[in-house]
Amino acid sequence: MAIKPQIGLEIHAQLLTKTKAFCSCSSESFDAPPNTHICDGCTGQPGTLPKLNATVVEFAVKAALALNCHINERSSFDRKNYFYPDLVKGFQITQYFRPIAENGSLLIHADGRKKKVRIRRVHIEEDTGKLLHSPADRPECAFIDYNRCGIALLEVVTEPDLDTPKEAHAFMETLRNTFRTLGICSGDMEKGALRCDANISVRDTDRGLVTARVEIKNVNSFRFVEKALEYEFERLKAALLSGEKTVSETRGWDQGSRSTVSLRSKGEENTYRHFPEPDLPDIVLERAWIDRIRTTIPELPMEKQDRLMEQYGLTMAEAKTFLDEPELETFFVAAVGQGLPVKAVKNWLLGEIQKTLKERALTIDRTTLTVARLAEIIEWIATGKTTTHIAKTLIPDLLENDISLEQLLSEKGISRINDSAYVIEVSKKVVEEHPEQAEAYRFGKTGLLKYFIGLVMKETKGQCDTSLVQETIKALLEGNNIEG
Amino acid sequence: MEIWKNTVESLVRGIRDKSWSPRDILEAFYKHAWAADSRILAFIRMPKLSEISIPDALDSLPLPFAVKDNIMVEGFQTTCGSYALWNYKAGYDATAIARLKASGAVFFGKTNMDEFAMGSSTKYSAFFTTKNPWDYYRIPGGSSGGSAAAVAAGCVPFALGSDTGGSNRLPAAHCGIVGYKPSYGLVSRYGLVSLASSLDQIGPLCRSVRDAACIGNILIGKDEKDATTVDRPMDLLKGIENSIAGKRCAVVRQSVPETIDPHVRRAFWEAVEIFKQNRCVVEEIDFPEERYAIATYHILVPSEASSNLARFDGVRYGFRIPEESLTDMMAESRQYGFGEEVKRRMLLGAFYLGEAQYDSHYQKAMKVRRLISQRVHQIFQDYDVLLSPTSLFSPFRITENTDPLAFYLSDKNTVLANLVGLPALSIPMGFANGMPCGLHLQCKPFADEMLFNIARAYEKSAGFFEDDHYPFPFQEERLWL
Repeated sequence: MAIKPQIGLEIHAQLLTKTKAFCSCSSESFDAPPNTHICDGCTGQPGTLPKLNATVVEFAVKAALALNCHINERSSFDRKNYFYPDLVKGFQITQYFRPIAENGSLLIHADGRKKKVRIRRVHIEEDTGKLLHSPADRPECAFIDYNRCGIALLEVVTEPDLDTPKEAHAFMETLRNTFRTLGICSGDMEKGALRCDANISVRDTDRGLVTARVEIKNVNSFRFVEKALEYEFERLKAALLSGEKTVSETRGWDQGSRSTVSLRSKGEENTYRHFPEPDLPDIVLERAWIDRIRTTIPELPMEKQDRLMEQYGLTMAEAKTFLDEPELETFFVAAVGQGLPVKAVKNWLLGEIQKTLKERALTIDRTTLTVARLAEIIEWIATGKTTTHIAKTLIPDLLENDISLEQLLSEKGISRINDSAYVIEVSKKVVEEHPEQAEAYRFGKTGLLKYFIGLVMKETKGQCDTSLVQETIKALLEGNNIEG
Repeated sequence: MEIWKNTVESLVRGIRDKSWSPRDILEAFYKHAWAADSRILAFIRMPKLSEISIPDALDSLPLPFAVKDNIMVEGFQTTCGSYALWNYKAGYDATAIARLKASGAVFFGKTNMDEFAMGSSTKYSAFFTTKNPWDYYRIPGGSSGGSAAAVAAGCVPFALGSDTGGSNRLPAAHCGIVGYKPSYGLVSRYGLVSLASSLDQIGPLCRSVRDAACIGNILIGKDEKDATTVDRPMDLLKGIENSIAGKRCAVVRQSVPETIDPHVRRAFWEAVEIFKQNRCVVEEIDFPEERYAIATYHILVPSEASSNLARFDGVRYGFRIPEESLTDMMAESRQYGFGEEVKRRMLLGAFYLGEAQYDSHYQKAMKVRRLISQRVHQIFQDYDVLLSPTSLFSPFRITENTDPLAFYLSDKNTVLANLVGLPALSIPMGFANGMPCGLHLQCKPFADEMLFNIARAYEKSAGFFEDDHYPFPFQEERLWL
């Protein structure tokens, strides 16, 4: 395939510092009523001056170290000037000329192989306020909420190294996991804590042609980033093949029509009149301080993924799930640490338990399931006290009620599962009620065994051990003595 | 002698001696200020006497003071001399104000200024032009013209101004008082509405050098709220009376050019003689790069100002013209909220910062600024102080000058201190053309103590003023007509 996309990402991550980047307002304001986390500084009152929050620098350096960047011992702030009501000062404080870190890389797993994505730069800036256009009760108005204004952002810009939308997705995920591991960003895309702008152009290597570069702005989930890029790739590819001229523009993803729509062409864009911020001195970092921060960097997701695969014999996909769900991973490590079989634990966690958690939007640490109870389940199954099937049906209850397995089973009226007499009784009844099928089986239509098992399971509400039922039915139909 | 004719020092002494109570002082100044202000229009607004709390005699500075209207005083309007902020009420105290209040001083009124401190006459105030107390038909200088006129006329014992290119020193020279621009970073700018952040400094306007040192001592200090302040503790009164024998003074030839007013020139060389009498070494030097200072200044200031004033968009506060669309609302509010000079400078600033001009204008100006700074530091390796006239001319008549470029040149000798961050003082050096004129002294950064020592020595020897007897522009009879 000679036609390839070339993708680069610009990611904005809200830093989890307690206070905003340049004032002492709380930055934990996502659910707060509008304009309750503001001060003279972050609403741009005349005469106020920015004061840099030291933790922002620390977090930025952590990110830069995790992304293998060259950290500039001297970096500085600049102003990006433009008018918009959510921008209180008429400019945004950012790092344009001298960012805090440059020339890094991040290793990602995509399509089953590892790939190194180069990072062009990492820099600190401040977030803007939020505009609420024409709310239902006041359609003629626009409201502005400045709670978000001034929250510290870290912008990460990649080189155009990503070759597929899938890789873009993988990069975002790896970056989010890295930032979560570092504890510097919540990574909640739906809350806007992580935002992505993607740049894409399409190349025809055979003919040496390339389309204009398109920027896709503000997509709020990994999946939509991938979808938007896929859509844009097809659109640009078609244009390239038909010889149609493409324009450099900014587009947005429209979930309704599952397509991208043009927002503005690059020609209409502002020039931002960047110049050095005179109110803030340079950030000067000492090597020794950077080295001290380096020692606080925990094991990073990619390293961890490799370790999980090696240590527990997990597949890449399994290890990745544990990376994405750190609470599950903690549980897994604790369970295996207590000597439970890796295979059983992982099957339970990544199977029924994860499914149920997802349905209820829960994390495992916020449920009543403990390692001890999972151990109990595994043991009961191993010793035949219950069946996998039944245990699965119990999972939702085990997650929400702090009662013992025994109690739960008796409460649900499913205590007879291991009672072979009961199984035989039901099986006999079923066989007697279906003489024609029983006859057909005896004449060689052995596939009907499953039919009978199904009937028994239905009758017993699925509470029986399938293997026990299978043995019993087989014996009955083949006329073997089953009582003894 | 009337109370209002006293300096800060003698007023404080009077309170200690129980000659006067803080209430006597406050009332005397208030009464005089109302009468005088009707002639000179120095104040934009004064609180009622009942709104001013009586200072505590036990505090170190129980005196009233006036404030240029671009410095925040909590609960009081701050207009910056502009319609753009005609209704803006400050929600907090500037650090400088908080420090003065902590010393016991009481806020006494907001003074007129060129709109957003852009100008050197107060003619660019959106409201009215302040008159020079020595001649009502002349400008007081600017942009801190209101503060300077108020001090010169005896409305207050001292006032605060801001200095971006000479805005404290030029009106001080024109009104015959002392104007101080501290080294950049000594005084917090928090609460000062920024014109050009990398040049702005707050400083006092006083009647004597010792008063300026006394107020300077209160203002100076590192402030957590202003990241550009430095921790350089100093005492401006320490050693202020020392002999200055042996000090090396330089006169830059370019700062006394051919075009200077001959009377100002004569006054200046007379002043230089006094330094020689004090056994200082005075040498004339060449500083060819000085000629680029004013051009550099007039690229950097509009550039920074265009960004600093972007927040006045009518969205959150200030002047707003309601319009259908947001863009129109912002554009119209700025169109009618700002005056001509402000718009002129903001257009220039936006132009200089534009992609096409950034390298050839802003970037180049920054380079020249560094070059000038290096050269100035070289000069200060050989000399202790630079002497020059503060202004090349006596104050213009109000109706006389309407050309912005001519006004830009009034800052010729003063912008250097802001570009390099030097401490500078303008002190009275006699009269020329019947109007006061000022001597300009500059030392190397953070040599503010030496600057005051040298200025005080000159003030003593010049003999214009006997102890605590400073000349006032108008006779009492004239005033009370």
